[in-house]
Amino acid sequence: MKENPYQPIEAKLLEVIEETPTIKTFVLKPVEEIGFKTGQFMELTCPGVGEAPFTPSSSPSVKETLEFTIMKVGGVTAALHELKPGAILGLRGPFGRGYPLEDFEGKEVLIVGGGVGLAPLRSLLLTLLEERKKYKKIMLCYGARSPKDIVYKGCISGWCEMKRELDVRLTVDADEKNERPKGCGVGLVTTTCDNLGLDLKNSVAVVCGPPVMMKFTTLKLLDCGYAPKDIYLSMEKNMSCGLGICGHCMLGRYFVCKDGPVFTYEQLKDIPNIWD
Amino acid sequence: MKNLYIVQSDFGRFLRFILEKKWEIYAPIYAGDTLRLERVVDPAIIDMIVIDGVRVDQPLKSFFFPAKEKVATLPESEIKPARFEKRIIIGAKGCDLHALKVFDRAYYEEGIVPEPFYKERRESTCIIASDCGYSLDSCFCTLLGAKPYPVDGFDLNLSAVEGGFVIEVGSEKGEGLIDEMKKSGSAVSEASSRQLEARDRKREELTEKIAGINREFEIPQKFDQLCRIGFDSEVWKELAENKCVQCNGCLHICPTCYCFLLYDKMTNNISERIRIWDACINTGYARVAGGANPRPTLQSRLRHRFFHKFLYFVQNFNMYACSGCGRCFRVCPGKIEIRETFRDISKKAKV
Repeated sequence: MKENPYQPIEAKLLEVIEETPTIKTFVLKPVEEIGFKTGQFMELTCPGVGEAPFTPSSSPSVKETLEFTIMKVGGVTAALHELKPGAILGLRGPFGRGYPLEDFEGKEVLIVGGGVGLAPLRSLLLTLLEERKKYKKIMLCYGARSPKDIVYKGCISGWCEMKRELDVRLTVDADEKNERPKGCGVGLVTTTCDNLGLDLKNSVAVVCGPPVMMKFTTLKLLDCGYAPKDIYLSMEKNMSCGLGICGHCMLGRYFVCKDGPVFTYEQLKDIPNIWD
Repeated sequence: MKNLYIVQSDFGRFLRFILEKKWEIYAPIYAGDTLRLERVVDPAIIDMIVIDGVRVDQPLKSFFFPAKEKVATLPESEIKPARFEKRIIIGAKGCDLHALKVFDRAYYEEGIVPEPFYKERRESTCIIASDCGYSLDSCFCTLLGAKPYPVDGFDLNLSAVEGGFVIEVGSEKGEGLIDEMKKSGSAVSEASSRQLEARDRKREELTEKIAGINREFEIPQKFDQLCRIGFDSEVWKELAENKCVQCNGCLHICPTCYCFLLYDKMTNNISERIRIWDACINTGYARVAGGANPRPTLQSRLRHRFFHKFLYFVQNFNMYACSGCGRCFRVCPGKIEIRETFRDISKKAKV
């Protein structure tokens, strides 16, 4: 981080990958290398428009470039979606606590993603796969609204081929035109959490997606028998300064930007209205 | 701590001396019937400075955390926080210093790095605090367990006694100010036990008086306990429906409200990052892109304002992020009162 903590580092937009009609992946090359831990987030500046928090979707082992998968939902993201390669953006961070990989070692790791929430989870999954032997089992459950809303289609088909190394379960909420990929079910992502076949005493679950998906997935996982301390949630709040000061991302006593964005459900379960 | 004594005229001599040396001095002067911190430029107004008044109108935060400032640009240019050569704030009260302590916790400890803009200003400013000489009906420091006189957090503290001031030295910077007093030709002596007794008596009397004003607001529970049991209290709804007009007055005048908003704007092809005071009662304060809003109703946002001050800050730092200065009540068009709010929660919780 710069001495002035509000100062972004310049980063050049190298490539824009269209994932879905509303989601694009941006490949950025910062002028100086930025190291991060998977699950940590960064503040991405669109010059003259503003800053917004995103978790890189690439693996931290890739040093030269960072990837961010971004859905067009607000002012900054709409401006980002207009950009062409060559544009100069700004990056601040990394901020917060990422996924505690050391706590995942020797365990069966269940990753549950919804929609564009797969972005930070892709970074996690790529990281886990780099040191596959450290983890007993890895399972990915991913749900999107419709076949056209599935992100990382190339990655996912590769992951589906990995069989012994990675179990993949896919689902879409609805598929009116029967366009879903092979092996993909129809139903909410919670349905993929039935009959997991995991040793829940030695398993952690990592969840990221829209608030309503996080809520029902967490309830489902508790129902399956996961302990609140073994459910890891990436909380989406209005992280702004990233420093743990400005107050916008407060969740109870926590500053999500500093104490999160990854929390265990154990940490949050007594705070009212966490899913709002 | 060391206790010294200076007569009032000698204190004025000291101020004229440092004013001549181009020090930047801010001191309480009456503006109508309230006190305001004014920049002392003309030596003639030194005699109008009110040391033993009550807290001034402005929150002290505005001297360390301006309402609006540029904090970064893209492409990068050097933006450095202002460092003051010699800046002195005179007449900070116990409540003002409590509020600064809240800021110190939030900006030095709570954040992942000490916030440099605040830190530069804070470290390059001397504070000559002083005991309150009287109180306002809106004062409630004693209800929070605090005192109407500074206990710590000052460089010097002045207590008006016998036509002069008992001076308590609170820091090395304070020692430096005593040296300046001596250089100015002022006589600084050890405080006598009679002077100290007179000071303590005045302090006790005023503490008792403020406690008296607040007797009707005394409740069995502590404010953080009331937050713990009062999340669903109907009081929040009543405040939202009947009183709050979302003017932001309370948050801007509050000496402990430290939240801010960053926004970017393009000026001559340079993206400028501006930091302004922000208020958690604004609708979009916690809203995320896409529209999800953790606190969509005014009552939930009002509750958050109280909870941050009286519960979360206690959980994180074991102190209230409220100084009992009563400024919020005095500016509120809906007359929302912190003391009254907690009394209402307490009353309704018992049923």
